[in-house]
Amino acid sequence: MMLKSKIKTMIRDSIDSVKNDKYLKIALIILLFAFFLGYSMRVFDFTKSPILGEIGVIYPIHQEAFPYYMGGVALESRSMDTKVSYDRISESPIDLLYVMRNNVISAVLLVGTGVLLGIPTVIFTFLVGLSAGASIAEVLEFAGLIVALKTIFLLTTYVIAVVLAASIGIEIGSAIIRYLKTNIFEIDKKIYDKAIAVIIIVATNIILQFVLLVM
Amino acid sequence: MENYKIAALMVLFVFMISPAYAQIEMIEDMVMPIGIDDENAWIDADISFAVEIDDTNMETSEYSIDITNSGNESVEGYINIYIPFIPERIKVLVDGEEVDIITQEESYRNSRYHVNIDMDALSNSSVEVNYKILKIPQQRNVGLWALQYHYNSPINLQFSSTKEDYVRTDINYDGKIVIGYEPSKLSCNNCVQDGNTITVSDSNYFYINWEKKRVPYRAGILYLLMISGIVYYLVKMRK
Repeated sequence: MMLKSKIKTMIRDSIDSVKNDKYLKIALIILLFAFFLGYSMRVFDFTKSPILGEIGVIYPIHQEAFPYYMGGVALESRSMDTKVSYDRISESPIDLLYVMRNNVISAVLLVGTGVLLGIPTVIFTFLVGLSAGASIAEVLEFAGLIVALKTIFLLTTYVIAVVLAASIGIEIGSAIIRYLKTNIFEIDKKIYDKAIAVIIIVATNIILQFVLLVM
Repeated sequence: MENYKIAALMVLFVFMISPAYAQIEMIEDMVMPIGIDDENAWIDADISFAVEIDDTNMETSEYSIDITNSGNESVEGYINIYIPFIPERIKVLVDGEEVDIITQEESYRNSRYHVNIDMDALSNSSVEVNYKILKIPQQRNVGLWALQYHYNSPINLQFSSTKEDYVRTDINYDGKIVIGYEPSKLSCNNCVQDGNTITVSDSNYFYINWEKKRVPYRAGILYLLMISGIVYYLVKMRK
């Protein structure tokens, strides 16, 4: 009973802290706006490929899902299963190493570039949203239902990791700006919880992406 | 004074003529090997074809190749057939008999098949190539409103003899490609379009690009849902 109530309290506290975290909100708003823009651009053929989707680091799920519906593009009946797993730009095979590398680097990139006053973090978050929006329109249109559902689920988990990582990056950036102004370096302790959450979610994403799309 | 001018002009002429002559010789050297030599083998290939691409992008191609060895030497060579994607069926008949096809490459990008053809001096051979393939659109820049398709001459012939590694081969395509829907943005090289029929006549090479229009229902439905959500949110926030 004690454990149950403890878990309940922990979840409630986490939800409250997420609700009140302005950096999370900023990251989520940037990502959603960019997602909508990317989706609009792709759905009207303004761009005929996922913007920066070729770069696995920005949004690896596109490259992972692409082999499943590549044959479906030809048929439009979505019954063809021609799976050739390799990155179209780097031509490296899409395997566990590929999934690990791209998920870890994108998270580290978002957090790490926060030290540059958070500006690169904001730009990378925008680019992730842009390429994810452009990619998901293509996947929905050409992939079969199961692959589309898998991709949407993986996009959701990836977005959670990206938003958390980006919020850390933006928070670090704003702490540095405050330090430059006031000469006091202050950072909310919640950032450590978020960092632990990012590590757990990125690890989970690697397993999920590998199991659902690559394996 | 006039004599000096004439002398200077003559010197200039001598200087000019030598490089010009050298260039003429170089051009002759380059042109001569391609020139017609009755002693050498020489292949003529008249390729007639009929291609049908239906509404589901299933392509049925029938090629008939009449090969003539006009030289006094026997030649050995091959037909290479380049096809995008893997065909559902491919059959090659040489002088009415089905022959073995050597698969050199088979992938979702390209398939390449090889058939050996040996010919005696001053002889004819008839080759028929039939294949059925599901046409795939261009994999890059895939539009949601239109898919791009491409068709080019798939037959490649090459012959050699004991004297020459490469025997001159003249290829002549004549045929029609009928597309089972109205193609948009069609562009073709060495061919004429009339509606959904493309005619190729007296050409040694051709290629065609076109687009098939489509409507992105799935992506469109989600987009409409997103727009509805945004409008609902804006109306709610305005109150």
